[in-house]
Amino acid sequence: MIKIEDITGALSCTEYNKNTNFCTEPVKHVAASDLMSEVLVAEEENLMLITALNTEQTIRTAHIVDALGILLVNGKTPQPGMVRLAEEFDIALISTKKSMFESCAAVHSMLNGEND
Amino acid sequence: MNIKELNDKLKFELLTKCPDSEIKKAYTSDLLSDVMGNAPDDSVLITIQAHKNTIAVASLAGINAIILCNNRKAPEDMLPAAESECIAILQTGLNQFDASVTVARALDLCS
Amino acid sequence: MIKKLIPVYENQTPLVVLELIQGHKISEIMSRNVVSVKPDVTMREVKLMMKDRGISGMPVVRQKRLLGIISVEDLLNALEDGLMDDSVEKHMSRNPVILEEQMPVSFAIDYFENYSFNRFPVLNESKELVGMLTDRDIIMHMIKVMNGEIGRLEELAKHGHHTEIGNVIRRYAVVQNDFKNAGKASSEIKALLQEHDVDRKIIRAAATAIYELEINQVVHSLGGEIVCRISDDHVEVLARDRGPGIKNIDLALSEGFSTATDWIRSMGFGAGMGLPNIKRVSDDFRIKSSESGTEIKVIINLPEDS
Repeated sequence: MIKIEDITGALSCTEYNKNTNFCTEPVKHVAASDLMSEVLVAEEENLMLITALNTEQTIRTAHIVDALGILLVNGKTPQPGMVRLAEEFDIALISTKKSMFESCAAVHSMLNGEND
Repeated sequence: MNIKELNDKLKFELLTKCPDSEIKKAYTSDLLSDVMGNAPDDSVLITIQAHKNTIAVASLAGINAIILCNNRKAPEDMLPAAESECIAILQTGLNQFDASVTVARALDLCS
Repeated sequence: MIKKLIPVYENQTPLVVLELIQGHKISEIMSRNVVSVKPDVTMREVKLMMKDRGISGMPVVRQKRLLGIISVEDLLNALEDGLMDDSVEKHMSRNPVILEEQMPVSFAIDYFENYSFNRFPVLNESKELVGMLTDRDIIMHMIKVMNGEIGRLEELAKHGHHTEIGNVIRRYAVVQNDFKNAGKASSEIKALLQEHDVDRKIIRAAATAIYELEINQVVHSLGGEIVCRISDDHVEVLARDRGPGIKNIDLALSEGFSTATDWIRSMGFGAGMGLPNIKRVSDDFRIKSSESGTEIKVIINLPEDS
């Protein structure tokens, strides 16, 4: 079971918000997109969002789809207001220097390794 | 690996002519400014941004192929623009995450 | 947040009051017998007209076109400066703030709150002057409707019927290009539905629809409002904006189609999924659009409590 905590470690992430489920709830699905309407199509539970979009709308979108957390890529720093909103909605917010492509490959192999 | 070899592995739908360019890396993004600033040379771009401006940005950034995810239809003016810039356009029903994973395997870029 | 002077948008505002201000159009409550003057009339004549009719302002009109407004204040200034033989045209206020007859009464209330004017000219779609609206018109109309409604409630109470309770109404103003505040409506409604133990999938559907409607107004409209009504068996969301309207609704409803600019895309929107997403998650979806605005009404059913 891969938690946001494990992804934080594997991708050398900076932690901006540790939610209550940070170390307990498993990530089961991943959506990677910079366009938020695309993310809203997701219907899976235990979702993690990978995006380069660092605006408050990222948090709001994650909140609507009940995502566990957001992985910001390309070393993006959250815009002011994002962290506060992530705390309010209890959503994990971490940031990695890797690109979205590299993050997808890395997260996928973590999730898959677990199935083997 | 050239585009044809890559797509033999991916088996995505090729919407344009297939130029004989190399693909060394891949970049996933839907933000064109991000693509412009960060996409590596000789790369394939994985995106849902199916419109003409994507070609202009890809050409500036040294991108040789574009994969349109979620079966996004290319608008009419996009394909001729791509061919005139020698950029291949591929289409897949996979989303950006799954397409990225598939491309990473095909290019042997898995960590 | 500026404190509203008129306390009708509070969360606890009763259904009937909101119906009253949102369900009625300005054309229904304005005065149609407009006393207007032509631009070449003298200020002296204007003084007589106002005195005779006991009014404090008049529109200045040439062939149904509104040129300006002349008020008692303008008259006093002219009197003081001894310019009573001047034409109205020289003393009127030009480019007056106008209302349109198709706007809901809620717009008029906002205008009275935001501007210090006592009256607004009302134009039709061809930009012709068709009426005037004063705060008096609004009060008279409200009293009339309240009489009817309270009479009805008294009748109901007499017969021991229960009136509808558990209705919640929330109204949100949406400002053009205001990405900062977009999403507040959906967050609030989501929280409300969670309090009522609504199924998660249904909450997600409602939040998605409201969010996309907010984003649509921020990105594509000149601004508008979103009204959410939660009743026992459904959530109704009414999104109305002030234009410029959707040119081709069928095209806008197809996935991937977008008129968004690169700037909007850089904000993470314009994927061409907004309207398709709203339609997908709703049980009933209605849209109408003209140059003066787009109106989308969405219903999401709430299944009976298990």
